[in-house]
Amino acid sequence: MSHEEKNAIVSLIVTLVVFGYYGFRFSGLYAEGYFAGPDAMTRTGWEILYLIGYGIIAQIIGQIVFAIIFAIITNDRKPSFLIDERDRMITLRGVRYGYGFMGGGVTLCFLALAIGWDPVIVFNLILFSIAAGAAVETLVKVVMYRIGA
Amino acid sequence: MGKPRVANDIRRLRFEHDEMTQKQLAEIVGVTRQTIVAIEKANYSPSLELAFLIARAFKRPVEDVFSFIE
Repeated sequence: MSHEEKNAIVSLIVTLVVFGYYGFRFSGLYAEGYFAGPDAMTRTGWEILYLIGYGIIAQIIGQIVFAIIFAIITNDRKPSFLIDERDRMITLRGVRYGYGFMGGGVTLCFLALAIGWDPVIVFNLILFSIAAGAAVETLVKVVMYRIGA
Repeated sequence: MGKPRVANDIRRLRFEHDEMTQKQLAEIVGVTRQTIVAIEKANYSPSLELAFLIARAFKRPVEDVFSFIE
């Protein structure tokens, strides 16, 4: 398994866990009325900033922990961090699909806003569209690595 | 993107060169072993530069290593 393939798998898992946790937390806070009133968008902004913060930390920790575990399991004393032309091609392919998915999601969010949905929910759906695009990007990369493209 | 239309003789050439492993060839040309695997299986077409590097590793012209599938 190449360095980039390992990164893609860890990134996909961490993204799903982090945004799964955020979705669970957001739905609970929304049900409690935390996002009601004049401070709704301010609170939304802070929750998203927290998400970005612990998302970055989770990715870094996940990559380090997985690298250590993988090195122990494979007994690889000299892991390679090489990124070659095929890795770059697979990344570009993943980005193309990810951007398309994200664009479609964001467009649907604007449609939801136009038909009167709560802006706080739409704002978070836009965020989830971006996350879903990132997840699609890494999923495409993992699939391409697995099928040996 | 359909299946690449470039075939190759890398596996045979590796065995003719002191049974060179995929990892050794990968280190010589500067790519990952997985890329060499994908090229041998004709699942991935290398760039022109990489094709020349692989041919040079076997001291053969590019046409002896790679061929175009009509």
